[in-house]
Amino acid sequence: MIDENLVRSVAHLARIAIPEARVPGLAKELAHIVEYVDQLAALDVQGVAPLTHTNAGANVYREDEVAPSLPVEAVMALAPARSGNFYRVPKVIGDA
Amino acid sequence: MNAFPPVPEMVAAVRSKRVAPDHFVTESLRRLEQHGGTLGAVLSLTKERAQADLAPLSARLAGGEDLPLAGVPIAIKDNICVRGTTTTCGSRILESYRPPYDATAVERLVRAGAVIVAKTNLDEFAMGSSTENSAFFPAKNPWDLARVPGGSSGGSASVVAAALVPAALGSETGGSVRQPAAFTGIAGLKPTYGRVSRYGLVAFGSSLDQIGTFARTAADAALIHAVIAGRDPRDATSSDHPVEPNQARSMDLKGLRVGIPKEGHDSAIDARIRARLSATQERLLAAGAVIRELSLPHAKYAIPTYYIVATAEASSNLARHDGMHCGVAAPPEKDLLHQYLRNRAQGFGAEVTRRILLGTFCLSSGYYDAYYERAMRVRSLLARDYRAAFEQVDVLLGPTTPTPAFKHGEKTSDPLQMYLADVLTAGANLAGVPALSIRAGHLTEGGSELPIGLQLTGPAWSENLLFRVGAAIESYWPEADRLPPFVRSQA
Repeated sequence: MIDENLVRSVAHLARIAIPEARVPGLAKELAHIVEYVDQLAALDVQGVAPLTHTNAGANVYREDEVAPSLPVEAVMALAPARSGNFYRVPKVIGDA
Repeated sequence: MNAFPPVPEMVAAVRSKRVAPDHFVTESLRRLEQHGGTLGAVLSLTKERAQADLAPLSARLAGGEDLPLAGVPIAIKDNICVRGTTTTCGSRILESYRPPYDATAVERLVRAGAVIVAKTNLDEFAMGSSTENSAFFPAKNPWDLARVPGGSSGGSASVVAAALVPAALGSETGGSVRQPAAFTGIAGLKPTYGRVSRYGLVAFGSSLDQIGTFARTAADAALIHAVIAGRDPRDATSSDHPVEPNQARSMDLKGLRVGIPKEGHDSAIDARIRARLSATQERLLAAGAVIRELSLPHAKYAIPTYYIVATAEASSNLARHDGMHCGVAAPPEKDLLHQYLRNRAQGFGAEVTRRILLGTFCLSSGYYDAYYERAMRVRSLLARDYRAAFEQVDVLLGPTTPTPAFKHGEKTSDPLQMYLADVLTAGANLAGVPALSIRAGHLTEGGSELPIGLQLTGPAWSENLLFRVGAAIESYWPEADRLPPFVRSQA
């Protein structure tokens, strides 16, 4: 089921460029792993609720109050490229 | 070189001024500087931070502050944020990341008087079972430098086992504290999910991740754990279940119901480890414990379930690493999409890429129901197994790992073989229950003494019980106190 085309499309969804030479190897490795996890298909899980949280209690609420946040300069100082307090990135919106 | 004294003795010495507040910290930094490199265990020494935290220590002690870890040097896995120090996660993509804040666990350690001395090596983003997936260099096992210390918290385990520090923090998603603890002959706790705040732990699989503690003994680990445990408003999944006072001592085992899952005696597990388990059962029986054999029928599905749930969560969590919020500026691409594609391709190593792709696949349209949704249902069945077991017994005992520490390169060619190293540990993460790996002596293989680890698992919030039973089991194997040959031969 996992073939080279699926690897390419999943890699695109995951926003990771995969060199074409690496695609066949990854397809093989992932197919091997998926074949292994496929043993779950044999289990009858009808009527079993999915477990999303192991300590699920009541929802956690807090007051909607202003609290201190990280100093903006300390965070922005990590930016590889910035313009004032903005991250500088390539153009997002195409030419009209 | 000798081991550090037990943590309570170190603290007593500092508090009573028998030694200077920096005494153990200075010694630990000296050892880390001298031997950390040989072990491939240390990614950075945090000397400046250590000095900054030491500076007020005398005044704090004089002011009568209660400092349960006064002057105790502690190493931190490099996926846990320590303000002002690099926190790389063992990854190129975070190579220059210096978090402007402390993880809650770190903040609580420092508040208790502990001093952070090093950031330790790990499998990239905590994905691996050998610390060979670090983007920088592999870590080594002090018992045999040709072998792995386990992973993903291999650096933390290695520095504690080699007596470079008395204790360290690691993190678990599927066994990343207990498996390295077993491979290096020390104590390692995976707490109940929600027991320790995850604030400042770089996320991998958020429904599984917990910060865990390494120390030479269960008693020392108990002391550290008590400091970092408890509700934190900055982690909504942390629990307000009361933290019991630390009881770092052995206990009367009369009447204690100990369950032995038959999966722990499976023939796939090294016969010498099974023999040590049997011998431990006999000792427990002689001490008055009640031994019951039982089964966790879905335990055999733990690894396939884990590798769907953990990779799915990872693919989502790691989406935030775009190389544009921190790090070094990459040459600009023609648009944002291509910048993402390139930054992430260059920033992530082979195993992290593999897991992100697997997780993305499991969550993708058309496959979600068959993989992620089904795995969450199997997770329910597994959690039920544990609940049923804890209606019959107080704790479960079994091996932590199917084999002793393996050699570098032995499992790197087949990702699936590496995944199976977590076959006995991933269940506790999926069920959210606490588990403690403790040292149970050694076996000899290829001329090396290699540690054996046994694992105690309990119901939610039973950490103290695990520590106390663990302390009893440690005492059955006095040779477990030995230091690795690597350490014995050093000044």
